[in-house]
Amino acid sequence: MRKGAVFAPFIVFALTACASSTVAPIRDASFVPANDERELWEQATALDDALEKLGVVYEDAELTAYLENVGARLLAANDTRGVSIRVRVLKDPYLNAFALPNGSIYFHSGLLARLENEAQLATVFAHELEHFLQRHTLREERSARNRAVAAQILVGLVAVAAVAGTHGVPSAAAGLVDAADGVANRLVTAQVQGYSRDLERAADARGIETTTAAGYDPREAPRVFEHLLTEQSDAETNEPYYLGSHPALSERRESYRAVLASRPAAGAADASIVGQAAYERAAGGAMLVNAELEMRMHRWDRARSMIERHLRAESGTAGGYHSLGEWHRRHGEPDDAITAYRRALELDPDLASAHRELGLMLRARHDLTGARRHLKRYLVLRPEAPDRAIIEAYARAEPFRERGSR
Amino acid sequence: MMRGVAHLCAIPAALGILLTVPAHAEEKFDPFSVDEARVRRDVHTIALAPLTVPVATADVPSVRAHFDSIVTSQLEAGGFAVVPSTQYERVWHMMSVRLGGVYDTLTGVPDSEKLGACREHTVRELQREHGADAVLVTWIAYDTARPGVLPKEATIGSRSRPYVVFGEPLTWEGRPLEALLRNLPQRVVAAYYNAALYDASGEEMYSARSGVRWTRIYFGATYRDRREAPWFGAEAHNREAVQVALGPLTRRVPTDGERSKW
Repeated sequence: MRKGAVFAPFIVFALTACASSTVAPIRDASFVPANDERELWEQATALDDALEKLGVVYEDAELTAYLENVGARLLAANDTRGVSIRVRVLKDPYLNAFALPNGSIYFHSGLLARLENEAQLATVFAHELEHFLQRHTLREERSARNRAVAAQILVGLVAVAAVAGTHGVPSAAAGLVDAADGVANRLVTAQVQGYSRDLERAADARGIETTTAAGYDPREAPRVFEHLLTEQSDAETNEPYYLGSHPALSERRESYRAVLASRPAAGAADASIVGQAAYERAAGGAMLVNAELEMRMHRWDRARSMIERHLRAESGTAGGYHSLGEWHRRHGEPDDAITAYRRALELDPDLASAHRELGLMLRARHDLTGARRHLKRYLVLRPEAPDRAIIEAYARAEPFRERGSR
Repeated sequence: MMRGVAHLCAIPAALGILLTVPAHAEEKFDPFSVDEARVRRDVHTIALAPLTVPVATADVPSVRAHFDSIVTSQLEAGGFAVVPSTQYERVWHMMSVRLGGVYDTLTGVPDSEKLGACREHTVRELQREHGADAVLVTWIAYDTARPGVLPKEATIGSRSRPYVVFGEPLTWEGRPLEALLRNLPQRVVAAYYNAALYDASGEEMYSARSGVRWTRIYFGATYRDRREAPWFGAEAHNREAVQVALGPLTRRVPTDGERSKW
């Protein structure tokens, strides 16, 4: 026991040093995962399936194609051959993007709705690609295993101290054991909390090389995090994911600034791509989806700015005005809500949900004729509506009283 | 010497661990699911949904009326207008009849689409008729409570909800349990009062729970139900449970004395 205690600090150091062992990057389609990496891939595929089943994956063929094009451009610039990735968008209002070890790359709608242009998207995309290509999850997994063994040795040391009379420590030591048991959760933890600081910085540095080689304006890189940091500070929010935290955003901004400062040629990129219009067109649907999520969280200002941005980019869509109507209705502004629903129906007379909301709002205002017209149209457009019986009663303008009551 | 080295290595680690523990323990309980300021700005009139109680509860209408009265006075004291639960019940009943029922008559399993439609239209109707901005859903359910740090009491609450932790003496037929059994109970069950506030779109804005009273104890290799006055009959406990659960919503922060007193 005593002998172990003496050598333990050195063993801890040696095991921690092993964490930096070399892992070759993925370069082409012939890549075969290492034995201990296969389990990570299986976990990643299971996570892909679980997210699909949860119904949180946002399906938008146009946006997916756009993201895949940006990804292909970045992969080509990264000098990879035949490496395939899968890009998906999650309906989640928080700031985050993550790469799984099997090449699945996820963007949260909350992030897409707040990025300003394609170059900013490419910055985040290239950063996540680096996590995948450099196999950072595997590196973290291996170092975590090493750290877990080290932690157990540490627990042993703490126990020695406890025997010697240091009260209260054993229960705290149990927390360390719990942490060591959590190795299997590293996959999810990395996606939520980010990787180690060194790996995040490495992804920043290599990512900016990739975005520049792909023709994107590298000056947009620190601006992404500048913009997000300002927005988070204004709203006084601190979100649960890595990219939603102030320290992480500040660190990314400073890291990109440092990388740019070390590359004198990087600033002169007048001919490079920013891609604001293309980005806003492609991400317009995700902005509306995210606005709905923001409304559910009562983050009215953010929701409104996303709806307005969508309407500006798309020169007004029925879906955009419907969302604006929803915003006004939930925000307690019925006149503006009715105006917005009517505008939505001018652009798309068959938008069932706008007929429903307009009908219900007119009914609340005792405009039974107007209500009846829109509610009947809703039932024609949505014959299988789950609330059909209730809407039919409203459409007949029946007095809604319990049988036998006055 | 070797022992000394071990201490040198262990103490900084132990110190680091210990320093993190108090910070975690003092984490502030925040029952608001959305920004509190927005709740205060957006919610002025609250519709009460009927209190749900455990299946075996006797005289449910009286229990509901009793709790409704406590809740209404607390919400009104907090500046909210209140729509009584009878209104919710009336509208819900009418909506569910229109939909041909929302539960499968054979299995009792709800039709999720119909249930959603029934909820939505009930709330919209309460909004139209009474200007309700939100619905307060409340229920009483059993859950475990811990034999307390002080061996003669049950600690009702949990670490994740530190706000509602308080203790109640463990007695059996009027006598202290410890003296009666000469050992500590292995498990205690308590009735908890739960409250959740939803906006008109059905999104949760606030959620909290508090202990009402311990109701069941495990000793002598079996569960024994409390034989004293029924848990819902103790008005002081009920009132305190509601006050604790709705305290942050109605801006009434209980004092230390209220948290520990029974």
